[in-house]
Amino acid sequence: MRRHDPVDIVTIGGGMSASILASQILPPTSLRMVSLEQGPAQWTYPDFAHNHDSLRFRNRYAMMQDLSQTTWTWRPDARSPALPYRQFGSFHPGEGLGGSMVHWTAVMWRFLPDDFRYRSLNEERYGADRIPDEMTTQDWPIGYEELEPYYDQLEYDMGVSGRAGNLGGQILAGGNPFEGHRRRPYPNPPLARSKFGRLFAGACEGLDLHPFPTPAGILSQGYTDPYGNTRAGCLYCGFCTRYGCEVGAKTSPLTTWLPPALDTGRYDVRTGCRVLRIETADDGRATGVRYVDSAGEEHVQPAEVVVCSAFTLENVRMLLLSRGDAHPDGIGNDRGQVGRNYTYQIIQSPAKGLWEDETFNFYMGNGCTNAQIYDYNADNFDHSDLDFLGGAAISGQAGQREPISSSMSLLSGFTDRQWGAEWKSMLGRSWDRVGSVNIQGDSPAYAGNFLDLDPTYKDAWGVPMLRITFDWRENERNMYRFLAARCEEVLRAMNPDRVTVSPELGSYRIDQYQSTHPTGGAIMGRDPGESVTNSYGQVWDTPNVFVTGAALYPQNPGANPSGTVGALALRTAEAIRDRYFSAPGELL
Amino acid sequence: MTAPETRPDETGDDPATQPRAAVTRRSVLRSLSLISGAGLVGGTALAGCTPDSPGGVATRGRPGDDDVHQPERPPLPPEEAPDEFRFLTDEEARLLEAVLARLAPGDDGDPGAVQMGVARYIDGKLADATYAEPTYTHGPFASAYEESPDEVERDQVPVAADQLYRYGYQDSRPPQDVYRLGLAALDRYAQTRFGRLFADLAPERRDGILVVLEDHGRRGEGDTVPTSDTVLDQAGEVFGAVDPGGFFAMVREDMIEGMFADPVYGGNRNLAGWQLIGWPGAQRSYSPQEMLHGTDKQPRPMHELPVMNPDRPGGGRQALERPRTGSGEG
Repeated sequence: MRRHDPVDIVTIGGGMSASILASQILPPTSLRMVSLEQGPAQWTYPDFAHNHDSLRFRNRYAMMQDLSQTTWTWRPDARSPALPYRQFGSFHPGEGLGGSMVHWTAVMWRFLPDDFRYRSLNEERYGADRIPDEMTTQDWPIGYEELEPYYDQLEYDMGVSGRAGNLGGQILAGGNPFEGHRRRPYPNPPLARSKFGRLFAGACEGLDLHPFPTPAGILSQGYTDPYGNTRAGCLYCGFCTRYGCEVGAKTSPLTTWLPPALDTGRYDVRTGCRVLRIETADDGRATGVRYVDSAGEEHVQPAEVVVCSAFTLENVRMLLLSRGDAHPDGIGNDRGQVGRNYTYQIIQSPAKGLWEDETFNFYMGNGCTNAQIYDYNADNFDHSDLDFLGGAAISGQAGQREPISSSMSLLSGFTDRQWGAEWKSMLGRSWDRVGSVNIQGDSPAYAGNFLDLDPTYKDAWGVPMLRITFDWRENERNMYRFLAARCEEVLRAMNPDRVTVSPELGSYRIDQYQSTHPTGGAIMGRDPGESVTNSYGQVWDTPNVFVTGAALYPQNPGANPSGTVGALALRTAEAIRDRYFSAPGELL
Repeated sequence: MTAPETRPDETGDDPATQPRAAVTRRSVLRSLSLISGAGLVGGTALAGCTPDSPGGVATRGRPGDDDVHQPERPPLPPEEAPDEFRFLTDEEARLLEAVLARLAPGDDGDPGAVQMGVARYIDGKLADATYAEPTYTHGPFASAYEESPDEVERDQVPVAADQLYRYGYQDSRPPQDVYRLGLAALDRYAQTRFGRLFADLAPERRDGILVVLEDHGRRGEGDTVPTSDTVLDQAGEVFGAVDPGGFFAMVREDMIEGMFADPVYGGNRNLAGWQLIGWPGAQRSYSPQEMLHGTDKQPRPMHELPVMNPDRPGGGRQALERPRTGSGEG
């Protein structure tokens, strides 16, 4: 066992929030920081210079966590058995320097002001009896106003491409009229809009809905960020989600925050290192982390502050694994809060059309070259007479269609069998003529959906895996039914020759990809009796441990989580840098 | 009820599919060489960390420009397309092609899965690695029960038969066994139904058998299917240890991979798969105009993709280059 010299901060994981912390904390101070990353080092050049191999990256998951070494288990409810997630399906956590943000789609939302007041807002508007007994949603401990400056900084760090819909309270045509007010426009104009995106937007306008360009962490033009990184605009090559970007147009830690952090000479990222647990002293404070390197040797890295900055699921697991005399059920879990409010995200394609006389060039572009509407998201529409709460963004299918994964089920609903002469002939004729209208919906929290340690399955180091207990509820099924009908209305307004609709939400199944948006499990709150951390991600019962990322979300709104992960990380970084070290170990 | 089939990908793209397979012998060799390379640079390969470096990212040494064609992270593509069967026997290959000829029929003028070399692709996938994608392979494994969990042996995890599909890939056997046992079972089933080997049956009868296999799987997911329970149960009995629907799904999905993966993997011969659907293959860029009006670009395999060097030194910070400082893989 090797014991290293103490540092000020050690992070578990070398992805988005670790690099944000390092870039904000280290340059103006003399502090030292270490990040432990389970995957390999990787850089835009040369690692992504020749990566247009769709089988390897899209279908064999070259950038994802190595499930042969460690994975998670899942069961639909506490009465059912849990089994390992043996191959990739529902979600795709990445590994390697920069984490999942290297292979992401780069949809860059701010959550809506209402999202932070999910429970109180619904109670005020519709009455407490509209919230099901089992639903454990709660308000965030911060509001949009407090987070707005950090969203703003994040967007300019990343060079986000988009069109403002609410500039300082003024609603602007062509943007998202439902967004919270922003102090500045997006730093870059929207990405080019695809042919299908134009058709979708035109149909929405005809229905008096409000389409706007998808905000993207992908540059629409050359950009020099506040750190001096100069990057190229998107080439719309079609190899985006599940790949690293070969021109650095898609923002990641590699393009943006790691360079200024590494330039300090006080940031050390150790790759191929897997953290086993957070070490604690008798008084319950964390003293550092214990980890294994790629050769199997154990190390201890002492630190004043420990940050769980890995993927949502691994952050929760790390807290639960770090048991000791002072924290018999794990760090943050003195009041049984760790694992509560695990939520996910409904992403479905309820309505699909076929246009006999149009091709759409779906294989070009990226996951953001489309348009969205927010008219049926959150509480942007009246729920008084509806049988559910919440909603979803609705979007036209974007670009980057890949031939293998798309051909598996593209024609379902249009041909009886997904094989044979008719299927092959139709696939040849129609591969670029089929498009869908999609939803991305919110995921409320329930007492029966939670995370804990699996009693049976262990990883390659003999450490228990995390067990996910999760399924949809009646609220989501009703919400889906309503939204599927809205998707069909929009799709029919796009004048396809044929339409197929999936009117009902099926059971959650972990083998079908939806999104890499598992959230919650180490949620933030106002009170240790209802949460694991305060609004800075600082753990109530172990104040020198912080959690970053989407594990902090009390429930998940109908939007991709990364924008808020970044804004929260900037806010936490500022608090650690400016206030924590003047009174170490005290709550911020 | 029909489950939605086209699934968006983070925002928009198409479906994820039933997975398969993991680390190849080739990739193991490569990662070993990388570790020793790091040792040469940093001298800390065994310790694996960079405690004494003044900050930076642990890396594996700096490759020359000619290395950019060689991606380092497994799974890796084969060095070149294989030209002989390495896993399948000749008899198995003939039977597999008889299946493929019905799943995606074709001829020389309109190539199907057989003409595209899909059997060669599948053989390569089975020969190169136990699992072609990251796969957790340790037990205990699931076992389905119809009435009571007590039906299941003690070292297995009892799962209600109508719920098992929700858990995804749970097979204790590697794909190689599924193919070997499944192909043999397919011939047994053809003999039972029609008294002949599958490959010797008329096309309509082969289609009829494939429908039974597929419907067996769909019934397991709760779908209503045209094939009767009696016929499905008989197929299940003849297949024995192999799930007929799982075998069918594996072959169909591997076929689609072989039709549309880069030719370096052995299928998609003459880019016939990409020609079929009109995909231009590996391209560096499209303009906003092409996104609206289409492109003249012709299908191109990966090895013809020009190396791009987006942002070499000269302007601003060298943000995109590796490595920076530091040494030795952690």
